[in-house]
Amino acid sequence: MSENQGAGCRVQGAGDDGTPGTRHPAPGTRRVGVFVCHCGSNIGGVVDCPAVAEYASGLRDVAVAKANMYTCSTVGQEEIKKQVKEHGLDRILVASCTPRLHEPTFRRVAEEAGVNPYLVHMVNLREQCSWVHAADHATATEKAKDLVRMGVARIRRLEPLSARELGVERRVLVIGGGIAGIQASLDLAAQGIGVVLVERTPSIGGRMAQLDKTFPTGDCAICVLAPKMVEVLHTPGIRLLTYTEVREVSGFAGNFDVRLERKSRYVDEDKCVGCGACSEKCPVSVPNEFDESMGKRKAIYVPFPQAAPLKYTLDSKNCIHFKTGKCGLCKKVCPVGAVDFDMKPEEVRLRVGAVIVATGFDPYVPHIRGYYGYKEYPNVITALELERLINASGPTRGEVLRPSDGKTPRRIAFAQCVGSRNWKSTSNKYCSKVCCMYTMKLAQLLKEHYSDMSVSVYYIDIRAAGKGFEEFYHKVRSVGGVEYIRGRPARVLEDPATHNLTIRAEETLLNKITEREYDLLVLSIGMDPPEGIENLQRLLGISRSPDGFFQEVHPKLRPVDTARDGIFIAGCAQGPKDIPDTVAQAKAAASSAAAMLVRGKVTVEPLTAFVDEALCEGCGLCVTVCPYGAPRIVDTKEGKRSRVEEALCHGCGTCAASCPRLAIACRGFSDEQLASEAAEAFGGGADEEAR
Amino acid sequence: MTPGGAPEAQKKRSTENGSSDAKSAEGGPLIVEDSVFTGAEHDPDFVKQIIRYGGKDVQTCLQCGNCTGVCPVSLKTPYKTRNLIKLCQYGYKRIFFTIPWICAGCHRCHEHCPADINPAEVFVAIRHIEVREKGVPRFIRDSTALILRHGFGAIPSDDIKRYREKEGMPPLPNTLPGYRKVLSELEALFRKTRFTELIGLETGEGAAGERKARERGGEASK
Repeated sequence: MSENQGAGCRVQGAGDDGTPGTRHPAPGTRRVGVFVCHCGSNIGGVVDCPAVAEYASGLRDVAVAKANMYTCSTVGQEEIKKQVKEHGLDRILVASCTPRLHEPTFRRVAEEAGVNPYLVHMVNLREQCSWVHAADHATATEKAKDLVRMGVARIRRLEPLSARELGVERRVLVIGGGIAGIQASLDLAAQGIGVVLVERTPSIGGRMAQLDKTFPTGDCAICVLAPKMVEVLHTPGIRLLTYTEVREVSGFAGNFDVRLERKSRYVDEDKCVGCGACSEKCPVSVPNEFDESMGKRKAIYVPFPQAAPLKYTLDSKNCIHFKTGKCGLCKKVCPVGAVDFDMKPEEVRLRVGAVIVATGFDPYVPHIRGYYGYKEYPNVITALELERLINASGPTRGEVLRPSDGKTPRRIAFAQCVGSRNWKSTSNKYCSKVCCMYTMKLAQLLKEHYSDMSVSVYYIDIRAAGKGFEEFYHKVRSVGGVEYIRGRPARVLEDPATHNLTIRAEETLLNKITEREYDLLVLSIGMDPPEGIENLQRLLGISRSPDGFFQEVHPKLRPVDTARDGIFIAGCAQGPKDIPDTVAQAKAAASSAAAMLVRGKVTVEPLTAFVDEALCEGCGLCVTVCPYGAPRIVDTKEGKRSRVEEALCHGCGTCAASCPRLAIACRGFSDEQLASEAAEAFGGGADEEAR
Repeated sequence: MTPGGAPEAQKKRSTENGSSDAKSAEGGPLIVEDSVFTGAEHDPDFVKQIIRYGGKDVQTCLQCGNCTGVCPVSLKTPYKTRNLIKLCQYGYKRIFFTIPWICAGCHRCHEHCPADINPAEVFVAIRHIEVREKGVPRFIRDSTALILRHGFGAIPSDDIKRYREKEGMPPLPNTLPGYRKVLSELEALFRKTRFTELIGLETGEGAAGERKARERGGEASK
């Protein structure tokens, strides 16, 4: 309060001897223009803006001070330019809203007026003054004066800086070959940007390839996906690397250095023609992961008929040759000599300008947590397993057969929210978003395939928000005749003789406990973050949200950007979503990456940290604390020293604050600049003495 | 469950609407309008009160009914766990007095609850609230008296004796004469923890205390 009173006295003084609006200090000193913004009534309704401007005009080095209605408007901007010309200003202080909103605007105005854009400073009179002191106009005005005085102290010490521009590599690394990765790759290639599409399994296609039909339209999933997969193979701008993992990503936006490992598939991709002779002769039969282990594959295999590329892969874990050194039938029968037992993993190094992470999801596995007798009772299966059963290219050629006896079930129940919406540590808290809809789709398909089958759905809430979704729900209930039971299954008991299942649940809308018998129980499982996401997160240096998926910078306005420039996310890597949302995000990520690369260069902000090597002892604390991996320790003639890679630095100041030797400083936020501001706040400023 | 404990609200409503004129032959109202919740029975602080007494936030309940499905009491009585939690959410405090004592405290509901609420603990919290606001309910006092007298909270009925005979089980032993020492220890414990004071039972004061207990026990068995 004493500072405020002090400031009040000085206003009085300024009013007495200074001419309001304009003041010309002695030549050779700095010439600051102060622009106090009313922001309509946002600031002007609380703070006496003309009084603040008048006060500012009395401060040291202030050449002119004005109050405007909207400084950010065209009129306000022109006013700044006019004052720069008239008073020969070399620094511009805008007292208005947060710099997060309009700092770029005023930097641009400065540049257009011939003032170095880094000699612009913003004082926040809105979020930090008028909005929080709306009840006390007089004190708010005093605080505004204090803030402006602090700002002037700071701006007097700012140094001109210039942004650097660096060239970019016009190529994008897309991680993950599901529908998101495929769509992003195609969109980038269509804009003439090179793409390296990396997939860790033997084929692209991802989870969408496993599905039978898609909701709510009932399109065949593989029929709409396969043409895109083929397009990927035949687009010259896309280099497809399947059975490949990302091992290292370093560098910065525009220039990432990437190290990949091509795992050995023991089949020469260039030679293999996909005839399948090897697989036919292979004597080993193991569960096929693509069929969710409902079907079998050989030890040398393609996961599904439409696989792209149609190149065989040898699974060395299950191969007799790798276990005993015998067999080798596949090698003998291969007409082109593609099988190579001595193949070694291959390292690929390349440089890319941007990275799109489209790593998708893993289905929730209920047996780890012993859900409803899954993997204990044969007739409890997951919805993804049912997808494979009902799929014409699946292990049963599209026939839905009970695992226990191979008969067609007559009574099927679905249990919703398995592994989702559960606050116990064994499950996910979030709603997986797609399960309500895919259950409707599967129920509809079952009814179409087997008209006499009864289908019941145990649900807690039905979430059918989407284009055509509620209409689909209506159709499934009316035409489909699917029975919806509101209640979470409480117990599932199996009759050991028939393997039929009895579900006990409260039908909450009836307030009654019911027990009903079914032939098959389908668990509508949710989505988990994919296996290995922690490792990839570490490699990329991006963050994840509490749900385990990758975190976007802003949930609404920057949905596919990560905190690390040049790295984008798309599809289920960011969180559970359906195919239309995934494709939309893939297109958004491709567009964001392209926007950066088409320009041909990236601007590097000069507001970065730098190391005074004379003071640095190379302790490495800065390396530990930096969230962006910008500083690193290098060997110099004088010993170990820290160096900050400016293109990686975000100017957050963590390293500068933590450096025990005070060897690191941030441009635009030097100790002197900040201390002068603080000194003004507490009335001990040099400027005050100078007056 | 029908909300039956709102006679005042019922009276008020029926006179307001003039429907008290319409009487059946027995004198009861023909049209029962009090099945409409008006909000008058709503206690907005109930949810917070439950938390204060150790229960979790019932507002996070999804009403999935899993608790009811696994509850041994819900299976055999008209009280459904989920429904009681819903009434907690609604703040229908009045109906709760005496009902939560029916919970056997097996905690199965907690084990299955996806919202991680633990209805059993909620009912314990409501018991605390009831004891503080209304005192210990009569049947608890009665059964305490029985425990001090016979060592049982409830005297085995003739039905149980018959079932045991039918199943070829030996008759229940009469615990009283053999376990006098245990009963006096139990009584000391009740007194030491001031439980006897809480339930308003002056036990152990010679023959008078025993007689009182016997009287109460007799009332309870009626």
